[in-house]
Amino acid sequence: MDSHNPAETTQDVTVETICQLERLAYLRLSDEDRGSFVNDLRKILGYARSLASLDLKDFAPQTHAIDQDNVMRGDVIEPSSSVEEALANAPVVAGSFLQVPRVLE
Amino acid sequence: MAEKSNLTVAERISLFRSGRSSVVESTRETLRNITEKNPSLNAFIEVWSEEAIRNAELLDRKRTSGEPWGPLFGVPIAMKDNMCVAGRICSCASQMLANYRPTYGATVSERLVAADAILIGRTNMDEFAMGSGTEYSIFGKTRNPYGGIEVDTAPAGYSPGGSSGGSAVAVAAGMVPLALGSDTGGSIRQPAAFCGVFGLKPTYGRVSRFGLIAFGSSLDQIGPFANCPDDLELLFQVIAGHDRRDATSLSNTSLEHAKTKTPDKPLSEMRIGVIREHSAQELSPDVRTALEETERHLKSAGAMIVEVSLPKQEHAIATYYIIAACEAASNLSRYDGMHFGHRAQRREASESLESVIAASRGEGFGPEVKRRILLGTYALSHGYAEQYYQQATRMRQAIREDFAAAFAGVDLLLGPTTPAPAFAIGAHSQDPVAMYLTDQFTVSANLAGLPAMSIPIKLEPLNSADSTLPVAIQMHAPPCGESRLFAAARSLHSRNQMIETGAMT
Repeated sequence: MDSHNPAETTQDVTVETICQLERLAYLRLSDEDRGSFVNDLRKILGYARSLASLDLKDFAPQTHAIDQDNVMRGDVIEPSSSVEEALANAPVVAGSFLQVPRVLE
Repeated sequence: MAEKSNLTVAERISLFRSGRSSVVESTRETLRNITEKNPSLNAFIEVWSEEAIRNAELLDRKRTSGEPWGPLFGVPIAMKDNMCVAGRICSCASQMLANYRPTYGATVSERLVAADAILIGRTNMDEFAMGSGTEYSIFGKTRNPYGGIEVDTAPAGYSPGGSSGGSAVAVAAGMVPLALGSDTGGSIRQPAAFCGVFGLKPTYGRVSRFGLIAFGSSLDQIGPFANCPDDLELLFQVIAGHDRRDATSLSNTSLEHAKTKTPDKPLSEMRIGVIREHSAQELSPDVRTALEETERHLKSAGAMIVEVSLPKQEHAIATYYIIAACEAASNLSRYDGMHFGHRAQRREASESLESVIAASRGEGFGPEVKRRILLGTYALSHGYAEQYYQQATRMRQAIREDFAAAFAGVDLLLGPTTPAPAFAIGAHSQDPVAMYLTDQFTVSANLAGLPAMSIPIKLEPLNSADSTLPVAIQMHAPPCGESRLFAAARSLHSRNQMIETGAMT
């Protein structure tokens, strides 16, 4: 934790990187945002880069906090949300459907 | 009658039993208290006054009907604004969900209602629980009730911490005796420390996450805030337990040994490990003194203090921020402005679906949420996933093994909750890494799924003003070892009360 040095940044991240991430994440940013996120990501990744160089082959990747068994339940029909409830928070609805912008050209 | 805000939950309920107060009277007083204090602190986003009074009336009828009372009978509870209550807006303090009204309630909400508690309102937080200061909120910043305003060093007052800052402040300011928060990397414990209240992050899987709006699913856990360990445990017992609607909820068999309230051994027989890597960090003198005082007290209570090492702690923050950001980027992909949430206006009739989704997300999310989506997307993207995400998941395993080795020799671990007491509002807003580092002692419990508690130790006077800031310590227990944490907290709480009343110096 002492190793944090604000000057330590990574130059891998450019405005083009941010634009690519915007496309991957479906997230539109302003030009101003892009500039500040370049700096932020450089700082954060510069800090996190310490992990990349460590030899961690002996440790199996862990995606869970606690060891757990798979959970199964009977294949039984149970009540769930009604169509009205499922659509209650939709921005635009047409009848019992979500209405969205044109998908096919 | 004593001011109700200072009463314990048991004392409140005994007033209802003896007939010295009705639930309606008590609820009205709570609402008055909130109305008086909230404008300067901004702990609550919304107060559910009418429904609270209606429910209080129902409980008053129950008082005379002879029906059994729930364990939180008539007790007002504040909910962080990321837990669903059926029919109530749940916004995560985000423009994206500003008008989102869930049609179902979280398991914790249902359990509270079944326990006869009164849900009093929703509290402010960092947007989508991402932040350490309750400042990234569309509802403005929350202020710590401690510390006051200092013209030079804290012109806007002190931060309550975050992300569950609203809930911590609601309890610290005596608006409510109990509140719920969520903790993904310290979001209960850090604000509890900054605001001088008790805050518990339970073992991963002990409290259902059903109806908690997801941030980092393998890290998130709901937990209680209270002014004393008894109240904290009471609320914990009500919300904990298996829930078939949450696939990561621990099964009843794995909880069998953890159900009892009594710890498996008394404090006097416990071995408590002081985390060397945490003590070796740069700590403020107040925090260091609090740790020393805690050690002395635990020793005098008969516990054995030993030093333990968690060698991988220096990598905890980097590991956490990579994993949390990756899980957040994935979880938050559901906000498309089509099914629910904010949808941007189309710029022209022919604008594509993808373009409207991207615009909706750009408008709906605030800066910290965007930062983490970008970071997570980067760390999961082709060419970088091995270097960042994979390495972080391996380090997560290494950190878990460190804890397992430590708990082979000790019953509890002791260390700081934060490097220093509350910072001034806005102090870290220009440097995300500096902000992330305030979580350096709390994130490991989430990575390893362990229960951990922040325990207030004292109030430290500030140099330049006639005010104080709370100082806290943190204790970790092995999985499902919450009862040990409560035992230690009770002992430290009695000590603090004796010091306050002058019975001990």
